[in-house]
Amino acid sequence: MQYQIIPLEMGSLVERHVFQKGNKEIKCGLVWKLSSVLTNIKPAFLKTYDPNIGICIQDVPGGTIGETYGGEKVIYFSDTVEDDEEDELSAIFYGSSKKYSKNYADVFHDLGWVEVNTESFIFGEIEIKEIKSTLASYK
Amino acid sequence: MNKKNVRLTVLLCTLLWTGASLAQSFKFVALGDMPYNPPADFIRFERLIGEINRLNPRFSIFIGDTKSGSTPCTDEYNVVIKNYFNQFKAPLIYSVGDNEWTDCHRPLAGSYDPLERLQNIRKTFFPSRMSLGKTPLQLTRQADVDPQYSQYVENSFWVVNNYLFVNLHIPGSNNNFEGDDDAIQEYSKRNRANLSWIERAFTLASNKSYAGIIFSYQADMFYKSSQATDADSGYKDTLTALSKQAQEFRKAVLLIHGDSHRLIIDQPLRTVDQKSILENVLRVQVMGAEQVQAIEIEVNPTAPQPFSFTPILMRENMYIPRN
Repeated sequence: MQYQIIPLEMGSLVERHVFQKGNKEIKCGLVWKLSSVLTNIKPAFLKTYDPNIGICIQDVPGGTIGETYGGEKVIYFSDTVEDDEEDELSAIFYGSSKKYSKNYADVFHDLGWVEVNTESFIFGEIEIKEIKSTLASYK
Repeated sequence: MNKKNVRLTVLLCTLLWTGASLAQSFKFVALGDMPYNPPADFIRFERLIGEINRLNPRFSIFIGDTKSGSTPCTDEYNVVIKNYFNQFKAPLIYSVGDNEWTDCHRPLAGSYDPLERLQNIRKTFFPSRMSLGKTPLQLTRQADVDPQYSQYVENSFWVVNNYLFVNLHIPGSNNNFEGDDDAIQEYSKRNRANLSWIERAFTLASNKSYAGIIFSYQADMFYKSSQATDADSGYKDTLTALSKQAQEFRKAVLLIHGDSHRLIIDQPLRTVDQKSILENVLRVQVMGAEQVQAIEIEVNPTAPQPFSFTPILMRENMYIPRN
């Protein structure tokens, strides 16, 4: 049996990366308009689940992100990042500069930023559906 | 023993000694993409140099990016790095990276003219045919043996125990094949010089029956598989040349580079048609950025596959877990 954890509000599944360099920090990632989390292990977190806090996908046993639709890129900087640097880092992140041929995380790394955390989480009201495997019936 | 017999004995001994010497294993160290976070990383870099000196390799190769892309590209910084390079007891051979010139136009790096920075790099690090380090090694430089490419003082080769080491100037940032017309022109000229140097290396190794070739340069030419085939790739020509000539050479080839900061040892070079892996070619990408570590490479001429690798992972230099 497979279980699908579906957020009931759009934009409730987020992939977030945190980079640091000295006293500066970047939080960036993707907000998926539509998506769900799949797992083969019956979810048991609902008893303690708080929609306002959400849950890390890593904390859902066996949980992986299923198909995603309409990802929106978002980036935030700590106050310690100066405007010029923000502009350049934003251009790298959104891919609007042709000067960089690698993905944004590798370019940040080359600029001296270190990725200190990466996580995906789901928040808001959710629904859990049971999915029966159709493949099993062919065996 | 008459004079003729003495001469024969001396000749035989010399031949035996030379043969034994060529069959001897030797070790060298590869490192690069550091120090990215000065001044804190200067201390880690000094510690790493101390450890490399303790290991006493035959020489070391620094595969470029002497700083992060956002550290200003100043003359003073280049001098600081040169002084570090000259703290290596054994010879230090330097391959030029993108962070020290192609990317210096970035505001964070000081908005410099990249071509002016390249000239400064050549003047500072390559004033003669001697390598860096406390006991420099004499190199054969492309600039000295091929008048057509007299400005490429950074391209060089040297031979150790029948293995040919070749230094090439192939930086990241798509080999500078992007940006304005000046950049494209610079790329085109240097690309021709590099292709000529690669061809010369394979010809020399074949003519002299060298046991293998080791190439060092900075760029991660295997970051995306399309870099081997796309018309707008600054690495397409180089990869095609390496594929074609390594296949014909048949003997061991090692590619050493940095750029993407993670330790990788694999076989990414494919045949020109990209259908098969070239099994005689290994590559090692050195770790870098926050990983101020290195890799020791042993060459054992008597082994069918001569290269073996030992990461130098200093506990005191580890970023995670911290000491």
